[in-house]
Amino acid sequence: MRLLLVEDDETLREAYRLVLEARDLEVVAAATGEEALSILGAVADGAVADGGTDFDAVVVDPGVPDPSGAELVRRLRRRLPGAALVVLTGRDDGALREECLAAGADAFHVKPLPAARIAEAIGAGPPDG
Amino acid sequence: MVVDQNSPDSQEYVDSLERELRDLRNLETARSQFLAAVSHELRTPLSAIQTYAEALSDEILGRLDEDQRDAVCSILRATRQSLDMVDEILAFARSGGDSAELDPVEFTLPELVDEVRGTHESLLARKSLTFESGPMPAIPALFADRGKVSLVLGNLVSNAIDFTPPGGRVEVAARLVEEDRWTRIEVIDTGVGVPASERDRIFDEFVSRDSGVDRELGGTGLGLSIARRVVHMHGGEIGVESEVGEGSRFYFTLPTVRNERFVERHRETPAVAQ
Repeated sequence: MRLLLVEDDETLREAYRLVLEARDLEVVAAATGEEALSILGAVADGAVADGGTDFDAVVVDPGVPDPSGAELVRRLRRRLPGAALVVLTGRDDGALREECLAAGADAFHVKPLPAARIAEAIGAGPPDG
Repeated sequence: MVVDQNSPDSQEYVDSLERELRDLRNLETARSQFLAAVSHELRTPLSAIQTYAEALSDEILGRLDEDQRDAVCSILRATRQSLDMVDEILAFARSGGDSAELDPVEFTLPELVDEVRGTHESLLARKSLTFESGPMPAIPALFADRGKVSLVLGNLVSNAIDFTPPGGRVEVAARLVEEDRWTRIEVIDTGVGVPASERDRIFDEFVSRDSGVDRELGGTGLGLSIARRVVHMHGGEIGVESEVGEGSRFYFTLPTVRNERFVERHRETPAVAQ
């Protein structure tokens, strides 16, 4: 499974990469919204991707620099209509939760989330016993 | 007070009230945004510590000897305590007493229990505690403030873990009361129990349980007082049944979607939590 990880805190980004790659996930990381969208390539805004994607899942902190928040979620969803899209944020914010879910996120979690739970949220297998 | 709407003085009074209301709403928005930002700033480094500690504990970076394993377990426990404190302090800051608002949505209890289990997985494993949740097929969806209820259940499960010796059991059970209008949720442990002298006080602010398996346990003493406040905001009840040496049964009640009185009072537009 190929995962796009969008997290601006370098220490946390590398910690997630470590534990997720240990679960046999291929992790591509981005520190900003712009970097994440650039990795996904040029798909015209407003156009829904044809469903072909080489990412199976996205884990995104909507607090990353521009674009950010629900707008970033919306644009990621537009480019990856079939991928599991999980928001993982340090902001325990009910309004942000509702915005991200309405923008196309499949789930909204507040950090921290153990690696097993991240894997479960993106459909990468059952949690540890 | 009767206001003569045709009077210039009364119009000025109404205008000033509207300005004050706008200012209060702006202040509340600013406070909410500040607390969300503080939550982010505190959780991010704690998340990094916990994730690396889990990597060490799972031996992703190499095998550990017994002393190293104990050290990592201590890091995980302390990190969990810190995160619980962040939750408690932010909830206390948000709650604002009677002025706090509820944001009820429909959600299922099994989903919430699963989420809480997940966030405590590491600690349960490190103490070799069994976590059980009874079947809840007949429980209708709850209609409650999901974020606040998650805090309550998380706090009770954290306490159960803290006060139960290794090898014990923590269980979450639920049943309907008052026909199907309320759900009674119970967190049951095989731990040290709560002395009779503490049972009334432990829900008070800044009071921590004196007895425990680990004497180094700290805490804000806010967790159970916040839990009581949240449950009471929903019109529910909270309490504990316990005997020293035989474990504890903490319980609280929450409205279900069939609690018409509560739902009508709080539902503006339907909102379903995922």
